[in-house]
Amino acid sequence: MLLSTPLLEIKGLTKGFTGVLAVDHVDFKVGRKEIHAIIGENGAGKSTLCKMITGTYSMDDGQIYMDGKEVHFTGPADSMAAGIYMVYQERNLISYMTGAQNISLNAEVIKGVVVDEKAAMEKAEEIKRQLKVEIPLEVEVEKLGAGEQQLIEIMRAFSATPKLLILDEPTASLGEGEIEPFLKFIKGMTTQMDVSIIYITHKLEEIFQIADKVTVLTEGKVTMTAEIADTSQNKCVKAMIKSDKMKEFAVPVKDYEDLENNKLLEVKNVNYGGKTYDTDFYICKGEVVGFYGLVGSGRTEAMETIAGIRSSDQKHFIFDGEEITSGDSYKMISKGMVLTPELRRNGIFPALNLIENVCSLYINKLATKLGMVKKKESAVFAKTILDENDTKYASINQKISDLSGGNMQKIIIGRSIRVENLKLLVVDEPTAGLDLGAKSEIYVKIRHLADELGKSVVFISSELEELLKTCDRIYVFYNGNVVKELKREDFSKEVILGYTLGGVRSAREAHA
Amino acid sequence: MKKKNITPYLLLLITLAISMMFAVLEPTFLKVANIMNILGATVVLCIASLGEAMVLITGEVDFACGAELATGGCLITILTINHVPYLLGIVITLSWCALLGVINGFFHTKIGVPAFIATMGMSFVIDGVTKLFTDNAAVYAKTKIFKMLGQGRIAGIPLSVIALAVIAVVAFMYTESMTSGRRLYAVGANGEACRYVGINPKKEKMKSFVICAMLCGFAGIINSSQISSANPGMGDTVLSNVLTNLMLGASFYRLGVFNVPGTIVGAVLINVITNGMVLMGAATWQQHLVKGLIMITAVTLITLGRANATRKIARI
Repeated sequence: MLLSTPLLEIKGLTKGFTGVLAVDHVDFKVGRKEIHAIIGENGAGKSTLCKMITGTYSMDDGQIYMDGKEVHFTGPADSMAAGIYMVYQERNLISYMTGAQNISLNAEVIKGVVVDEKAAMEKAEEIKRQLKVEIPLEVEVEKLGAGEQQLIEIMRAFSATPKLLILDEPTASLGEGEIEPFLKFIKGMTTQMDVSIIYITHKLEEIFQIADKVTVLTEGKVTMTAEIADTSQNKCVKAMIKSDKMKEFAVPVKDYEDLENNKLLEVKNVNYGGKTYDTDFYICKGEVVGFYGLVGSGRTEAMETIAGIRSSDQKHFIFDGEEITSGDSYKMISKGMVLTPELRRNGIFPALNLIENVCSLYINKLATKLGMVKKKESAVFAKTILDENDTKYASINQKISDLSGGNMQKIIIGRSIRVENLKLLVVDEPTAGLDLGAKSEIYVKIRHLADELGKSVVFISSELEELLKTCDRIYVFYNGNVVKELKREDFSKEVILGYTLGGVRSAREAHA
Repeated sequence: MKKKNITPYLLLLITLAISMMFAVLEPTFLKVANIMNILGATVVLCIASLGEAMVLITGEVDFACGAELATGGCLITILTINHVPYLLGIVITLSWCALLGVINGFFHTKIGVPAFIATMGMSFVIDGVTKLFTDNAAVYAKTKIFKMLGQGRIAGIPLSVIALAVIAVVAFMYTESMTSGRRLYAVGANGEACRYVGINPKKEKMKSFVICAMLCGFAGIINSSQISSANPGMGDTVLSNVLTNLMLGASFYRLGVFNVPGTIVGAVLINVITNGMVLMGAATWQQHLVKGLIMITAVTLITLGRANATRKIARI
């Protein structure tokens, strides 16, 4: 075998769905020990391409070569046997099993008639040493963080001898603090072992940290393939999207004295899960406030408690001049506070059609006094929402589960901002998994709500960059508490990250 | 491009095709009297199935539907024996069943006991109570008004069939056109998402348990009227039959989702098969064999058709 033979070579790979070519004659090569990034907008065909490589999807046309020999995979089992292992964007772990059990899942060592737990643990420990990671293997994976769960899934690939790992947006679910070590780990893997990686992502900065090569897909076609040293972020963006798709916006300078006379929401503390947290914050009318913190830092929990979604032993806050001490989400929605969920799957009703999904927030509005649904109005309303948010769909009667994640998100946010008496919109990770064009559309929508319509927005996110770009103020959460407030003119990445990790706070406390 | 997909209506076509086959093989099958027999035999299980449908739509299950049917039938009979006016008896019976539904709902939604365990336990409790007040024996009532609902006819149409038609139309409107029914579907589709759009899943589930118990109780009332008597064991085989109707029904109209029209078509299909086979003088083993094969074939056809249909939708 010649060293110059690429590990994987793809020629003219093509796949169509109802006449639309999702992947259109794609050629590319992955060399040995290479990290090959694939980037592209939502629906550019990245996942479809990789699912053809693993044999999950059949191809309409094209050839795949491993080590110079043509291969035909009819399913993931075939490609796994050939050393290709894909880690999907969604976690595929059994939550109540330990890390070790998950790693040896479906490859268990059997002792007599029972699974040999000791052998499973030894195997997992060996993989752990091989990959040089620090991770507890004896606890149930549901108790691990998102980053650790990701590692368990990658470790699972090493229960065999993988030659090629396909990682589909591996950092999408990770918090800011978890991404750096994860990238280092990935880079280290290829330098120390004979393994190549196809790395699908939206995050350009990650590619420039770890990738050797990058391939850009646009509407199913390869628009650029380059050595990472020969390209730049700008060139990648240009290859990825048409310029008219990126929406520009400006954040107007606010007069805080004026704003602070118009407070919409005032919170001193929140109580959930049997504990009370110190969350002294306020939201004014017409401003966008960012909530930043690690996953589990309480940014989501605080707002879900206020929105009546999370149960609370005692509640006390002021919303629109009214003291509120009780009430479920129905009450808060009717008062004008709507929250879009952190996990997209919590915002949709998969088995229901687009009309029902859009109108789910308006069940009482789009009905007669007797409780009969106004079907015509509902359909017209659904169509309006879908069209004004540029949602791609075939029919309003199709199930929402047929749409891509990006389109689902457009529906979730689109229906929320049209609530008649909307006063406060809370968006939780609204741009997760979206491409740059779609992200910019959401930023524009958020600013429009605040600047032109005078509504308030709480923008919860793990991506600090987007908060710095769109928000008027930012609150930093740590361990359930609000530890820092910054106005736009004081925004500083270093300060915020310091508070995020709790370092500054504990230093300050130690000082006091 | 716009070729209409017939898969959602396949179950009805299968039912019609099988009816046609019986009509050719056995001419009495198509006689009005026989059709009324088929519908009359469908009524009790169909009404109970519509009740259970409300619970299944929310993603839960009520295992006590048979016990609720039996307790309904027995209570109305005993009340009649004790000279309680029939209509008042119905009100008392339905109230009793509603209370049972509230208890089912209470254990599930307030305490958090899984619905199948709560209702399984309740089915024994209800059965025990029913046996207590019937002295664990059949009870008979032979007044004219008692027999009317199950045995009376208007212009040749059994009153019970009319009752079913009314309940079916109301249930259809409720689940398809009313906000209250739509919320049940929302809860079943994603209980978690409900909270973000202001729907309280617990309240909706409670509602479904109450409707289910009341409809099962009403099915018991009709059943006791049909046979002029009631016994505590009359609900014993109800659960499996009700679930069969509902599973078949989920392959009609709203594919993969429990729904009212499907439940009725499913119930009619099963009774058509039973009735046709009986008319042809088939033995019990033949009836069971054919019934089972037809059900599996029907659902297989629909599953394949559905897989085909979804494959054609582009994931955009």
